[in-house]
Amino acid sequence: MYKIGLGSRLVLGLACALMVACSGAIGGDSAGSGGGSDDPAGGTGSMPNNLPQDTPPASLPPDRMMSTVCKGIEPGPTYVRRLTKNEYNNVINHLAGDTSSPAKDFPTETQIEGWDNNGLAQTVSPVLLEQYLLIAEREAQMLVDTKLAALMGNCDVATKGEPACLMALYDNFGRRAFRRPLAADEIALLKVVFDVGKTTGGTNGFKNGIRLVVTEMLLSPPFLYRIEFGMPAKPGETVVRLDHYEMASRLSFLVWNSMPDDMLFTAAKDSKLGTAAEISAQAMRMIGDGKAKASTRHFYEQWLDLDRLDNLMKDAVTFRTWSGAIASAMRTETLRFADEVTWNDSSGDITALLTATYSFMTKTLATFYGGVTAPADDTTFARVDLNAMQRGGVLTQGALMAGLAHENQTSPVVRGLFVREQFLCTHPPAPPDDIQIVIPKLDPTKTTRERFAVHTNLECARACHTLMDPIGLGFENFDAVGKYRTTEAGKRIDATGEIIGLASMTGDAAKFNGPLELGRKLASADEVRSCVGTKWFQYSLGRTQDTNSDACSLDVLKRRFSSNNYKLKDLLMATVQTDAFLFRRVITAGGAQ
Amino acid sequence: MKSPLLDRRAVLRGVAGVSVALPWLEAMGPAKRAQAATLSGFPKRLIVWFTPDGTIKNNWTPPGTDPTASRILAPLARYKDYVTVLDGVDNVASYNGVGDGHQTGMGCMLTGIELLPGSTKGGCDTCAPAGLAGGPSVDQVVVQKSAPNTKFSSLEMGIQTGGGGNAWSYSNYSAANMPLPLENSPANVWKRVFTDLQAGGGDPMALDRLKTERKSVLDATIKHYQTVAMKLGQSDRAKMNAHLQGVRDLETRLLAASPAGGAASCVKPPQTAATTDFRTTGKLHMDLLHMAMTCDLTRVGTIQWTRSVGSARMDWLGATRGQHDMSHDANDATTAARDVATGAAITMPTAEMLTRINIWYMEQLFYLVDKLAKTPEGAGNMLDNTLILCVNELSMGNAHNRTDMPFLLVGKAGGAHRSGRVLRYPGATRVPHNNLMVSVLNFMDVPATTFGNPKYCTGALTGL
Repeated sequence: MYKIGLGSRLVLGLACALMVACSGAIGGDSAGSGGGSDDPAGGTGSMPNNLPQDTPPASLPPDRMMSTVCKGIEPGPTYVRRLTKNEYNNVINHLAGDTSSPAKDFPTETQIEGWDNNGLAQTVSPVLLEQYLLIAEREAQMLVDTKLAALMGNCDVATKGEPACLMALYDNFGRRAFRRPLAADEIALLKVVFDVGKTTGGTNGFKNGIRLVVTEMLLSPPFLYRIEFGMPAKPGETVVRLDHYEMASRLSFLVWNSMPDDMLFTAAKDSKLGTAAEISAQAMRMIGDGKAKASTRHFYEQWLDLDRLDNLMKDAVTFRTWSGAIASAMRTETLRFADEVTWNDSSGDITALLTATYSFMTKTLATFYGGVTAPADDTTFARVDLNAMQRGGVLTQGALMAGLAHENQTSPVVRGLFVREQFLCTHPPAPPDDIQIVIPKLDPTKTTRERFAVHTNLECARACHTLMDPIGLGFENFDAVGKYRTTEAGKRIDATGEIIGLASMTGDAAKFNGPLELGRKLASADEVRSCVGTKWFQYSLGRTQDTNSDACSLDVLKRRFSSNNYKLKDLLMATVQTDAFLFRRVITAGGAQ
Repeated sequence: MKSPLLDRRAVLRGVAGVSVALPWLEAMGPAKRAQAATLSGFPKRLIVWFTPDGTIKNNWTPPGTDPTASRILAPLARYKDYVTVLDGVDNVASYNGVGDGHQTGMGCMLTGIELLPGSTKGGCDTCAPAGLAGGPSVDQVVVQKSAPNTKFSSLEMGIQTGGGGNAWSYSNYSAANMPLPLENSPANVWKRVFTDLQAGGGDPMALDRLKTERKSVLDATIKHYQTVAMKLGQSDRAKMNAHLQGVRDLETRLLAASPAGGAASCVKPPQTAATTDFRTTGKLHMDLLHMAMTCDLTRVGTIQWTRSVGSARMDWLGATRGQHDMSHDANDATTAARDVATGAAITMPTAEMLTRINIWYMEQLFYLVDKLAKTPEGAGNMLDNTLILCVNELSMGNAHNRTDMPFLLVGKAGGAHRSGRVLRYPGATRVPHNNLMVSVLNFMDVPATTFGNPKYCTGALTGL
C-alpha cells in the first residue's frame, strides 16, 4: 500500500501559514475578457482587415461577427505537438487496428497547468525514442504479416508491379499515417529505405522493403507530430488558414483525440475544410460519433485531476473500510457521471455538473457511501438516485471529497484551493518560504472548523486562507473518505461559508450553507462559467492562453458557450469557431513562433 | 571562506544470476576503454540516491566524528570509512528565481540554478509561475563531459515516482527543460538493459542484417526531421532538432554499441518478473543498476524513491499514513500507527515514525552499498570506484527548508573522495550546495570550478 504524493500545489498548498505575513492578493482570470488585439492590421468590430485573400468575411463564424473584442484575425502562437500517450494509443488503434495501448509504457508526459498535451512541455528522452522504435518495428511486422494487401489498397504486385504497388502504399497507408499525401522528397527518402529492405529480405524482398518503409513512417515527424504549415502565404499576409488536411487533423484530434476518418480524408482531398461553415458541419457530424466521448473524458480526467485517486491512501486505523478498489470505483463513478451529464443529460450544462442528484455506482461503492439504494451487484456502474438533501454534483462525489482530504482528516484548505484553481481559475498565493507548514492537530473534542480557526485568528494566515477555507468548510459534511456526516466530535457540522472575491456575487449573495447550496452558487457564477471556458481552451488547443493575442478567441469561445446555456458538449463546437482554431500565423523559418 | 551569499538567519526567518557466454555483450562490438577510469583500470561510477520529504535532522546528524553515529545513519556503520556526512550545506539556488520553495527544492537539487519560467503557478504573488529545471543535473554533466562509451549514457530508475510530469517529478535533466523520465518497472529495465534492442538471438548474420536495416530506417528518419526542422519557426525547429539528435544518439547506441566491461563479476541477471511492490521494486532496481555498472553498460545511474512530496506508506513499519502526509505534522504531534509485532493500533510521535522511515531508506542504501563493496575490482572493490550522492529536496519536511540539507556521500570515487568524515559548516554564512556539485564533478574527473548558476557557487566545497 502506498500513495504517491500529489505533485501539485493542491497538496503543497494545504498549509496553514503560521509565522510570516502572507500577501493575499486575489488573482484574476487574466484571460477572461477585454484587452483585444493590438495587431495593427486589425480592423474594427467584426470586419478584420487582415483576412487571408481567399477567406471572404462571410465565411467567418457567426459568433466571431458578434464579438466586440475581436479585431484583426489573431490566432495566437501555434506549436508543433507530439502525439500524447493517449493520442498515440488511439492512432495506433485506428491506423493499425492494434488495441493494446502500446504507449502505456511510455514515460509520463510533462504537464503544464495539469494538461498532458501542451506543445511547449513536450520533450523526448532516450527511453521514449527506444519505445518508438520498438513499437514501430513491432507494428510494421504485424501489418505486413497480416494486412499487406490492405496497406497498398489491394494493389496486386503480380499484375501491377512493385513500383506501382509501392506508390499505392504511399497513397493508402502512407496518407493515413502522415494524415496527408506524401511529398516528393518523402517518396525519394522512402525509396532508399525500401531498396535496403528489398536487398536484405532476399526472397521476401518486397514485403521486407514495405516493412522497413512502414517502420520509418511510424518514426517520422508527420506521424509522431502534428505539424501545421498553413496555406502558402501571399505577399503581405501575416495569418493564413490551415490547409485542408491540417484542418482534418485539427478536427479529429480535437473531437476524437485521434486521426481523421475516411470522411475527413475525403473532405480534405476535395478541399472542403476551408470555410467556418464547412468546418462546423464536419465537427457536428463528428460529435455525433461515440468516439467524441474519449475527448471530453480526457478533459474531465485532467481538469478534475482524477489521477489523485490512483492508490489514494487513508489512515488504515481511522478508515478501516477504505481500499484501493473504493478509490478506483470513485474515479470511474465521476467519469461515468461526467459522461452522462455531457452527452445524455437533458440540460447537460455546468449546473447539471455541479448539482445533478444522480450518480453511477457499483454495489460495493454504494454500500461504502450508504444512504442510497445499492445496485444489485458489482458488474456495472448503475445509475442511482442520490439523497437530494445530502449529495448533488461532481464536487460532492467521493473522487473529489476523498481525493481532496488528508489521510486522517478533511482539509478545508485543499478543498477550497481546488475550487479556486479549477473552477474559478485563480491561484491563491502559496505559503511563504520557510514557515512551519503543519496541519492543525487532531483533537477529539473539536470540529475541523474549530481547529482550522487558527487560520482566521492569525492575521497573517487569514489573508491567504480567507480565499480557501470559507469555501472548503462548506464541504465539511463529507469526511476524509467522502462519506456523508452530520456531526463531528459530537457536535453538529457547521457547513456555512462564503465565496470571497467574486465580482458577480458579493455580500449575502456569496454566502451559502452546505455543499448543495455551494454547488448551486458556483454553477451560476460568471467566474465559474468563464473559468470552464478557459480550461477548455487550454485543453482543446493544447496551450496556455495569452492575455492579448487570445482575447478574441476566448471571447468567441465563451460567447458560444454562453449562448448555448453552458452546455458542456457545446464546448467542442465553440472551439472550432475561434481564430486560434481556424488560422495560424505565417511561419518565418527560424524566426519567432 | 566568506561568501557574498545571503545570511543564513535572514533566510531562516523567513537474484542469483547465470553466468553465460554473453552473446548479448559480445554483440555490442569491440571494447573501447573510455575516460574516467580509475588507476586500477576500472571505470568510475556515479549514483544519485534520492529520498523525499526531508528527514528528522536531529536524528540524522552524527554528533561526533563517526559519520554513521546517528540513529538514521547507523545502518551504514559497517562502511563508515566510505561515508562523508555534510552538515550545514544549503540549497541556496532554491531560494531564488521563479516558483515557490516547494518546486525549487526538487528542481534545483541537482542543477543549482533557478527554475525556468513556466505555467505552474506557485509562490507569493510576486513569484512568477515556474516550469522545469533551468539547467542540466550534475549526473548529466558528468555524462556529457566524460562521454563514456557505454551502451547507456545513464540509467534513471524510480520507485513509484507517480504520474504527472512537473518540477516535483524529476531529479535528472540533460539540459534546461529536458527532464529524463524514470523507469518504474524493473521488468522493463531488465528488458531494456539486458535483452536490449539487439535482437538477432545471438546469430551474427541476423544481427548484421538488423543493423543494416535499422541504419537505413534511422538515417531516413534523421533526414526526415532535418527537412521538417528547416521549415519551422524557432521553438518548433529546436524541438525537431532535439528529436533528431535523440535519434542520432539512438542510432549510435544501436550500431556502434559499447564496450562490454569484462569484469569477471559481470553476469547476465535472470529475467526480472513484473512487480509494483514498493520494496521489491527498489531491491530489483538496485540489483539491476549494480549489474549494469558491473558490466559497464552504464556508469551513471539514479535511484529515485518516489519524488518530491512522495508519500509511500510503509505499513511494514507500522505506518498507517503516508510519509508526506506525516511530514506536515507539527514537531510534537502524535500519529496513529500499528504495533509491528501485534498489529494493534497504537499512537506514537510522528517524528519517531518519520525517523523510522528514514532509517528504512538508509537500510536500502546499505543493501546497494554492500553489493558494491562485495564486488571485487582489481585489488579493491566496486565501492572504491563509485560515488553515491544522496540527496533530498528538503531538510525538515514540515519546515520545507532547504538549509542544512541532509547530504551524504558514500564511496571513494577511485580515491578522489576522502571519505570517513563528518564535515561541518557552521556559522551564519550560507554554504551553497553548488559547491558540493563542483566537488562531485571533480571527483568524477570532470574539471570544474563552478556549477549551476555561478551566483550560488564559490568553488569546490571547502574541506571535502
